[in-house]
Amino acid sequence: MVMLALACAWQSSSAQDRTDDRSAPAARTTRLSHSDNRETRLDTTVAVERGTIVDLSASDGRITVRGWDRNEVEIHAVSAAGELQFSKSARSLRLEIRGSGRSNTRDAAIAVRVPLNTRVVVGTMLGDVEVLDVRGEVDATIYNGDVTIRGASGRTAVSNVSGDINVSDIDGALRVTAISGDMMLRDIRGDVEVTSNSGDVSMRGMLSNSVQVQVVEGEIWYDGALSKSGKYVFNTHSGDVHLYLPDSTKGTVSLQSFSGSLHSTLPLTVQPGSGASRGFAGAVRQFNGRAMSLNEQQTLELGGGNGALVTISTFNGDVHINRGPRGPGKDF
Amino acid sequence: MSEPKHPISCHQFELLVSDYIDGALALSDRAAMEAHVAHCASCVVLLTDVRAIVGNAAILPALSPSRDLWTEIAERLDTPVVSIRPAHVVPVKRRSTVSFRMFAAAAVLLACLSSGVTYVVTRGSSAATVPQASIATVPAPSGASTVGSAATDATTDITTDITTDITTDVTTGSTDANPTPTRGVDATRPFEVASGGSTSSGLGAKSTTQIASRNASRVESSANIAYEREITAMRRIVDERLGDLDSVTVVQIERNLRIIDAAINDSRRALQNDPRSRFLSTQLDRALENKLDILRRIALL
Repeated sequence: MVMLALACAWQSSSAQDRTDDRSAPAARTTRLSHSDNRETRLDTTVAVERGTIVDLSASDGRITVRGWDRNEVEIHAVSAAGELQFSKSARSLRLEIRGSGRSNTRDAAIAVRVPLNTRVVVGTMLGDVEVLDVRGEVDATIYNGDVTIRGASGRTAVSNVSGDINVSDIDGALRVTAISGDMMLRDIRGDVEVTSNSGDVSMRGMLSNSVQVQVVEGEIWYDGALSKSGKYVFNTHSGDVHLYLPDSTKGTVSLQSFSGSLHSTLPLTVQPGSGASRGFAGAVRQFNGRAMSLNEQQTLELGGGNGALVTISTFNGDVHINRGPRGPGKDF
Repeated sequence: MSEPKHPISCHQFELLVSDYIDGALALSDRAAMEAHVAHCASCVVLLTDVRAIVGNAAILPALSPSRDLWTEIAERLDTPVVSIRPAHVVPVKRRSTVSFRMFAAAAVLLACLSSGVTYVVTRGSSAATVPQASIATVPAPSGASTVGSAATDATTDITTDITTDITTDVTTGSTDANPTPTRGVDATRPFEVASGGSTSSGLGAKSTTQIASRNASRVESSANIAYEREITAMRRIVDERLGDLDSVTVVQIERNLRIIDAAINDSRRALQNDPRSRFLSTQLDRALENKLDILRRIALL
């Protein structure tokens, strides 16, 4: 198909000299237009085979991707001043909007609909990204901008420099590597690994056997049940760790902090022989108004133990273990 | 090129391919290899792959071992060398040819080690500090103590913690004391041995303490040097990269580097006051590794 050969390095400045689209390959649903002196547009629908990777990037601008029940990729892209490049091979479809040279203009937008189960690779230097209901793997890299990913399957990976990250309804492993920004993760059905330098990390409705969260400056919130065979590791340097757990939770909690304390509204049990037993009698009293110091490692049991393994460490953050779920109106 | 005396099979090609690339084959063997590859497509692919692996391995960045690795290295450096006369001389075997699979496995291992050694070691030591043994050996809950709102009547008279358990274990020579010492806890053992008695090596408590203290400071110093070297090198790359990034990104990067630097300083100060703390050592490792990771990621932007 001629359309598949569409590979245009569309320099907007040179585009001004073109008065029609004859330079672009003829295609059934492809339309390139220039609505003013500098704007470049691409509106096209491309038939793709199952397994095609869709790779979208913009130096500045917003990208939205949605899944739909067709074997076609529908693209609407506009760049006010930048360069638009589009190419397609047998297994991948690539669209890139390069910068105009004007910083912070957010002068581009890409809106794409992809077949369900498509693997989506998306990146922006400056701009928000939304990937919704694609039910395939998603790999998002954003320098500055907010990210929303909902309804993906397989491996999901998000990486950013700055901006909030909102990920929900994922069937598969999730890995988030953030430098700064708040993070909200909901309904993740797979292993979770999060690293963040600054910003809060909130989790709800996780169904995972492995959750690892490491934050330098920020709080960690976990609201939901623990998998009986799950391993949970939460580490902050400065920032509290909040767990909201059902009464029926069973597991072992190991805690340590340089200057943080433990506060709990759930019963925690120390078994004879545990390293946490020294000074325990004082700890019982502390829960009447004070907290248990964590300056030595404490190992406690929830619901009699024999369940999830939870390891929490902070440098100067407190640990709060509460009955869940969090109350209404306290959504993160 | 001399003509091969005997054609070789694909299996023989596989066995000799690493030596072939190294230029370590005799002319006749080399000719046989070249003759074989001239008509065997699968071995061309094999040869290309091995060359690529060798090329990739050569450009892998040099990484320094983490603090945990240095602990064991430094201990071995301080261990007196004792001459051991062998009962009999074992003849040195001729170096056997490394098969492609072994070579590939080694290359993959090298790549994995290079990219993840500090991460893995740090994670490993962190996990090792959890005294799982004490949980596994918990007896009936009759003597349990409970913390929290539903536990006002529980008490306990157990006063030992993991540190005292291990001290007892070492000084009495008992092997079944609980909990099982972990690798992470082992780092503190020399200090506890010194305070509790003598060791089987015949070293006195004082000398053991001195060695341990010297080790600790040397490990600290070596680890800092290793990390600082990596961070400095990576920072240089990042500084060059920052010029290509937009101002918003640069501001965020600088702000977050200050945050991680503050965390590193916190951990270092705390560790100075309590240099034997395994927990603080792990925290410092983690912070240093975080900074390296951030710098690496920025360098790749």
